[in-house]
Amino acid sequence: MKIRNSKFEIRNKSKILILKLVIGVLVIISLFWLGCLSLVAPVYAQEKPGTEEELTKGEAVVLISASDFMKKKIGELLSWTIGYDISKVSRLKLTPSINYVMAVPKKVPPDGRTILEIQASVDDPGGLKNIAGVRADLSSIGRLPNTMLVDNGLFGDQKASDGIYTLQTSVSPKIEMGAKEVPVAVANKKGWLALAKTTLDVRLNPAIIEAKFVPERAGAGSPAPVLLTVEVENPGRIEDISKVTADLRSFGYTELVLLHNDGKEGDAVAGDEIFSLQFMVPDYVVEGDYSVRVGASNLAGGYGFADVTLKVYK
Amino acid sequence: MSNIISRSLAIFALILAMALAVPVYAQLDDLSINPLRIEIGSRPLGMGGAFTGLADDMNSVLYNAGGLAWAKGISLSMRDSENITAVQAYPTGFGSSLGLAVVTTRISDVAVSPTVAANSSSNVVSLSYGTKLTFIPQLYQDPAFQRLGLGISIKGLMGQTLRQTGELDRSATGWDLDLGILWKGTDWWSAGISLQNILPAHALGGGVIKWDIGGEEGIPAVGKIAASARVIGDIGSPIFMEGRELLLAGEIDVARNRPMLLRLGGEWNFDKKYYIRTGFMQQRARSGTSSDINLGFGMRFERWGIDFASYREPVQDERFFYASFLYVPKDWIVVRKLDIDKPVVMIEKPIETISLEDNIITYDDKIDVFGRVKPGVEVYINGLRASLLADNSFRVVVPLSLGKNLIVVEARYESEKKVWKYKVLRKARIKVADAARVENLESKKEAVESLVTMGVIEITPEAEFVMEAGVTRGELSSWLVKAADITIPEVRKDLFADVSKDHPLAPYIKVITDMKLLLPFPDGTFRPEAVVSKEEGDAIFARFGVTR
Repeated sequence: MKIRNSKFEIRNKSKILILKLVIGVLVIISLFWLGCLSLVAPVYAQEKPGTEEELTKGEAVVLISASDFMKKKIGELLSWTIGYDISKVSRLKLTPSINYVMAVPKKVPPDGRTILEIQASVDDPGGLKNIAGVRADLSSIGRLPNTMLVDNGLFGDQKASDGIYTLQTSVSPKIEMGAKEVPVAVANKKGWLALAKTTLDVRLNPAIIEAKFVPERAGAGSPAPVLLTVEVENPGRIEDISKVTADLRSFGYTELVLLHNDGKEGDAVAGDEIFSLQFMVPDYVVEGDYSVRVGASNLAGGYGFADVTLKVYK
Repeated sequence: MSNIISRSLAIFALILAMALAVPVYAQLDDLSINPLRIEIGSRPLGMGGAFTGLADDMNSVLYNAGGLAWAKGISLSMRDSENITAVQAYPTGFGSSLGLAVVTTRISDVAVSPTVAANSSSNVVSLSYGTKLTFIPQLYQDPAFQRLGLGISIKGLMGQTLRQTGELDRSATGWDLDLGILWKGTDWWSAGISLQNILPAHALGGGVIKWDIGGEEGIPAVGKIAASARVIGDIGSPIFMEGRELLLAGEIDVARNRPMLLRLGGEWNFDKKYYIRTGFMQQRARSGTSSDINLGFGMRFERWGIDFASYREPVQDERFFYASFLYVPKDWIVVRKLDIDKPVVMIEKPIETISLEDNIITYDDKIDVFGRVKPGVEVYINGLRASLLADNSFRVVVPLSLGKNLIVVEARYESEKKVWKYKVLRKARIKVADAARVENLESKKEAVESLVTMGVIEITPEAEFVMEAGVTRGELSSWLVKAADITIPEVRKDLFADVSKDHPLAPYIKVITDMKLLLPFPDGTFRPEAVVSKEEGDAIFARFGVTR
């Protein structure tokens, strides 16, 4: 029994020892993890007691400037041989802009009296008030090479301060026919310049755009009248067409016949570009194709013509 | 324009084909001597002879007459007393130049066989003309034609002698024609074609060498395709470098029944005064192709220059040394009479006066640029045209950015252009609110100016800088990150209770807290408005190696 008891004691002691070892290991592991946890725990800024001395901005700037990287950057900033490349050229839009330049009318006779308007719509990054002036070089049409356009609502300008500058002039009679360029320059108050140009056609003679008979075939002796319509384009104004004539001598007329642009005698609209004439084909006119010359004259002394054919049947 | 160029190329190709078809037989060719090959000049030789695509000085007369349209000056090149070349390019003032070259060459002791030696000497006179075609009114307005130069050279062999051991001395004369094109694609690259000795045999009595003994000998025609690029240089070059230029050039030479030759060269210059050159040059030699490295050096003064080159003479197969003396006379300026009512313009000094000078430091956000130009000259500043008054004066206002500014002034007169650059440093103007109680005010103010100029510190022009105020944690975060050029990250979530992702300083605070330069508070805030203590500041700057 004693032996049995001693055996029992030995077994208990072993169990206690193992238990103690397990507990010890667990304690060590716990301590290890606690230690690890304490190492990775967030570190926080300390609350200041309120009496601590402040770092001033001036001191901070001096300290930053004393760093190696900042010393290098300041050295580069003050160097005249580093960093002045094309990226340091200002690309700001400083010049005024010209939206369009146009000549009205586009075709002008060199008569010294037909009004030619040059219009330029301009703008500026600093606003329209920054526009110093708009000038046109009119030397190609025999006028001054440095003529000012205005935006004051006067001298042909329709509205003041709308950015559309206008100039009224005329083409000198000494100028030869052909296309002429009119350069326009706009300068702003900061001294920048923009250029553009327009072209106009200096032409003396009116052009017959279209001439036609209605109907195209007419019966000799027919009571129905034939309508001749002629569309005319005049350099300058259509009002300056002095006359449009038709040579109807083949049909018994003794002289050139004037076409109308007064809304009467077959003319649909008064004052437009289409001139008209109604006439009868006499019964003695033999069958065939008759070429009729229509001509237009203007106040500048120009003349243009075209031939149109009327088919006559019996 | 492209049609014209392609047609021109087609015509050139046809001419080259005709010229290459000329039979080559006889005496000089057996020795690999081409008496009308006049490619001398120390600068081109220093660059391996790759000058056809560059052709930007008087040596254009020798290499590519197309470049003559832009060339002027005199050059005298010497190897020894028997190898002398004189070149002159004289501008006419109408986008063209006349060229004249006299080339005296002697090649001695060429070993024809162990017992036979040959000596050759020749005198060649070349008359050239190069033009830009802009004298044709229809082409004047087209800027493309202001970049295209065409040239022609007539070369006369005035006295060719050949002496060989055991044979009678003989002499010869002849003449031939070169054509050249130079296309200046932009201000930094150009390409050229040169067709040399293109006259078909007996055409107009030329195209052959007429010997007093031994009949006639064809002159080998040569075609060259070349290009050059100023890869490092002034404004407009791919790589801008103040006072430095690197020119690279290359060309391919083609001739009938001969191997194609390659030439590559480079020129590095300092302050447009000192030049170092080198090149790889292939030449036709008796044994086939001679390949070697050339070296060169040059100096330029206001009107004078001197160049040296070391190269291999292929027939004698020896290295020789060439020296060239250059002179660009002042009087040879491009002078052109304008219309009757306008005075003569000298593009040499198109701007009479200008208010700018180099290396300006200013605190202003703009600078007035004013001056006066000669009649007919247009002024562009930073690429924008200045308005000229009736007295040819101008005054423009150029805005300045903080920091470095480059003001480029161009004077344009017809097809000529001159460019000046002015460096302007605009420093930030700082108003110090508490100037009276700041120690070392000037040095601190200067430091603030520098940091504001570089964008490290941002303050509005109206704001005053308080030196003695405490720097906040937010301010210091942004200053440090900007000063150290640290790339700021994208902030996708709120950083702290008081620093949302949209906080203007959030990226800087993230960088600073990630680097543990400044730490958040235990309550989960960062407190960007809290002032940094001296102790904290010392710890932070100590990490950058800075102590007070």
